[in-house]
Amino acid sequence: MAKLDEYSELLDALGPHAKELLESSWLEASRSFTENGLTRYLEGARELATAGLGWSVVLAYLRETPGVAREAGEDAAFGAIDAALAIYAHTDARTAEQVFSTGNIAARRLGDAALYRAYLEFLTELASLAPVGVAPILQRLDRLLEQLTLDGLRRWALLGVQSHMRDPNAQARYFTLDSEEGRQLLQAEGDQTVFPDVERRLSLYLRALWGRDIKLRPLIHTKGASAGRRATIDGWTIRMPQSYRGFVGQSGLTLYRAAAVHASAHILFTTQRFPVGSLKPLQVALVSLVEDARVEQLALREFPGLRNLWKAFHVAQAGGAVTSGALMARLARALIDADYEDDNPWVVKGRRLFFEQKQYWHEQSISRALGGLLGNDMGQMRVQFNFKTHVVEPAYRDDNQGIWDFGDMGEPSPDDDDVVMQGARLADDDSNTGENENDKGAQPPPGEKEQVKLTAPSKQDEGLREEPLSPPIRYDEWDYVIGRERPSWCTLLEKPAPEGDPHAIEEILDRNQDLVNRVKYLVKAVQVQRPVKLKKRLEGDRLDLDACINATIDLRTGVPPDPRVHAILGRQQRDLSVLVLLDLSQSTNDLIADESTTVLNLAREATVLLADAMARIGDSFAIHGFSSNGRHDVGYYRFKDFDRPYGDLSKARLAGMTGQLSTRMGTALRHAGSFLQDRRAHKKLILLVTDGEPSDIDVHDAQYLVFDAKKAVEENSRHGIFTYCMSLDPKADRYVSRIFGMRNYMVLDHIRRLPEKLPMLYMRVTN
Amino acid sequence: MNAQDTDNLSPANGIVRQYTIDVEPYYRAVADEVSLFEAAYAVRMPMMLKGPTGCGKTRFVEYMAWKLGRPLITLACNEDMTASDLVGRYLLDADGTRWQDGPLTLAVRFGAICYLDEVVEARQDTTVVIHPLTDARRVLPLEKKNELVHAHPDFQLVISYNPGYQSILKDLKQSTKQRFGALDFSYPEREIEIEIVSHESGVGPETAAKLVTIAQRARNLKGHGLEEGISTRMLIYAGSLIGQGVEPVAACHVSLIRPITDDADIRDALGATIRACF
Repeated sequence: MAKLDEYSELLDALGPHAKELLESSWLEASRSFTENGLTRYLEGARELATAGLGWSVVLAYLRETPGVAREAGEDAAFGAIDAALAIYAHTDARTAEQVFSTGNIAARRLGDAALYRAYLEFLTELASLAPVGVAPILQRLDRLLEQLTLDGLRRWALLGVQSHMRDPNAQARYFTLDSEEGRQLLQAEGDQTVFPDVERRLSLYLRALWGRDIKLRPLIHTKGASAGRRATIDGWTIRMPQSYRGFVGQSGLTLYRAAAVHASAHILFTTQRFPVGSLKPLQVALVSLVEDARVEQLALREFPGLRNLWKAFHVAQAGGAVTSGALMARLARALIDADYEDDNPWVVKGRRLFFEQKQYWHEQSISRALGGLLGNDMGQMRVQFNFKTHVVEPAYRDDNQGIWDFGDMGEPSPDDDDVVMQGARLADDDSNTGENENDKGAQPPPGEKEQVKLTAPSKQDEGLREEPLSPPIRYDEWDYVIGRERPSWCTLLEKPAPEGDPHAIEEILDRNQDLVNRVKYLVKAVQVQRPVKLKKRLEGDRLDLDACINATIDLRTGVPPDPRVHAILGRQQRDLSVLVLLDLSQSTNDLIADESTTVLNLAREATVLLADAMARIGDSFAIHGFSSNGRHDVGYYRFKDFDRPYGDLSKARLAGMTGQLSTRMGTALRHAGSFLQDRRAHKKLILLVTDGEPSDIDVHDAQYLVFDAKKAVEENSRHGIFTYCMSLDPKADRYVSRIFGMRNYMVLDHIRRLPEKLPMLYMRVTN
Repeated sequence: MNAQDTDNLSPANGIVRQYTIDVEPYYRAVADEVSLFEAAYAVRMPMMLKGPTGCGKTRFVEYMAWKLGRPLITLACNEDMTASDLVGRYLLDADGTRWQDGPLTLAVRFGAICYLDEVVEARQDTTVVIHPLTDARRVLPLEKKNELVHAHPDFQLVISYNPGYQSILKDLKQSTKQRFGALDFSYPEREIEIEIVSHESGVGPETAAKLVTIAQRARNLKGHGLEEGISTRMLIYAGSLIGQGVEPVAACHVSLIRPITDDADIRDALGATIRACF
């Protein structure tokens, strides 16, 4: 790990306040940046300081940037420096400070490097157009981004700029939402169907239709992009506009659906990109149009009902001005709508040729041939065609950039403002951000970290080291590359769990009283199986005297008796040992989406409620946790052990639980298994609560620890120990089923509901 | 052997006769399961039928019982079921106590096929009573009655089992599992499923094909929000509703979507899928 001392020269230039702040937050910073990033981080601070923005701006920058880097990636995070300087030029230092202090909110809400960059660009643009607007937006950024997409926010702001160009006071009222107009327009933007609202529906829909994993992502528009939003295809990913303007309610969803299924038809049926070669722009547009019709026809063979979905958007009418756009819209309609009548010879010819080729529709080459031909014809008709202003119609169709291979020719229109080209550029943009997404939250910079740890623990680490509680225990680790175990590879140290205030735990129970009550009900249902004398049974191990007397009376009076004369002493059915294993890595300190609390706090609440339930049911249980710092230091904490009362000590330990370091899951699972192996119980269960995939600082192959964890789960199951995982990572689908098996996990999408879900889940899987 | 060859059941066995299947149940073989089952029956091997709900396990047993000319005694298992519910119990009546054979005992005595449906639902201490029946001994001890019933030569035990259960603690013991031969069932291939849906519900092959397409698409969502796919049985329901003149999309909503999920997004996606198919 890079040491702060190495930057002493820079630090001196920054002055005592910054130095103090950096010393206290260095560990976090060094985990958030790469080696280069750390230098840039400090140099950024110097740049701000020399630009004369004042110390509070520098401090805000130093405080917030590491978090932004984790959310949106380093490059995007540093983009805020230029943005703040540009905004400062139009406004004041306070506003520039807010750019940084709200950085984390923006990064978390947008959650994507490209979006974050687009957001900074928007702020800069707004500062130059309407300086009074920036501060009010930043002040209520969280709420605004909750209501609107970035596109929506931008539209709303630009509307305010345009409508009050000459009246700064009215403009200010618009942005502070003191004017009726500002509030109304904000409401209108918020009412639109936006992509995040329909994303899950659409991806389920595509998965149902094609059985393939087609990804949907938001499309990011930057400065200068005008109307005419279209979806765009990028390999197996469809980028959808964040909203389609002018559509509300159901038709918004329908438009999204039509667009998604049209683009997916391209992905499936446009198997090769068309080389542009020497084609003219008009021909490119027409080949695209025919190809659109061709893939739709192929999709219709499988799903005839799609015709109604698409047809509704084709509204072109015969007659009217003969422009290239109108003719193309009419041809597009003629190719899908059999009832549509058009007498234009060009449209008629296109339609005739297209349907003559019906038996060759599965061949992509017909689109090329037919489009070329129609392009020539239209060229001879001398109607004008402008590729720059051409927008594919109807709105559900994609921009068709994804089906062309521009080769070395360059794109036909290098103009900056050309909307049609946005897709292709963004695609490149995004391949970078994709990587960032994957890296984020994983390991901080690679390198000698582990060795540093081994030889002399650096100053910052010392605070984290605790006295081990047990002699080091060594565990093997599975290496999937070599297909065998690395013997005694990991060292596990049991460490004392720090104690907190046990009253905090009681408070959690008090605060969640209604949840506790609900759990109590469930517990009662479970408890029915505890030893009780069940009377009036058809059979049993003893007689129910009262029932016998009644039966005898019946017999003597000649009435058929009630045959239920037995009683059973119900044997206790629940013979269960449960070990709750908590992932206590650094990432559990992250705030959840609405910022009200941390993942760790929620996990604690959930564990407390679960423990309360288990104690009531009478199951024997233990609560342990783990975090790791490389293979030589896997820390293991025992908050409550089997056969120990769940009392003040356990509660104090739960209250003192902290999150730090990484997640070496396999080793922890093996150790947890060792506690259960010796227990005499009919069923043994490890319930793992984690917020991310296995990772550690000394492992750079994401698969490695996943496979090791899977191996550990298998080893445990050989000893009759089930492992069940509750994952809080929305992306967990990728790996949890691989580790725990098809049925033995649950991915929680609303992390807020963890305290409620965990006890319910427990009841379900153990019942 | 066929349904007429049941004369080895004496008139006293009238109680078992009611379990005889007289009319050939419709069953469309998807692979070699019929001949495999016949071979297994020839050596009286206990059989286990595995597969998701609604894919034809019960119908298959009925068909085989008809084909082999044996009565079929079916028992749907549940977690409150006790061993006595299987083997029988003493009842009190005006004259004192009277022994009442349970369904399993009945099958064992008179040589029926006993079919325990969804056997994992039963508690494990209940299922162990079938152990002595399912190995070379082929006996059923009735402890309370102090009687050892030797199985009729025609007796066979069949159980069904849906491996996709929610609770990880619900599974058959290895010692139970290993007493059975097993046949895997899953949703039939497209053409066969169309034939089945069309035959059972009475809709034309074209509508049946659409229903099967919908089911296949919906099965893509299994594990992505759906716990189980749309079963063949549900398709037959949908077809039957359409046969009653219900508008197809509405029939699909009633019989295919609403029963299997309450998740609004999945309902929406499935609804759109159905509209895409009609």
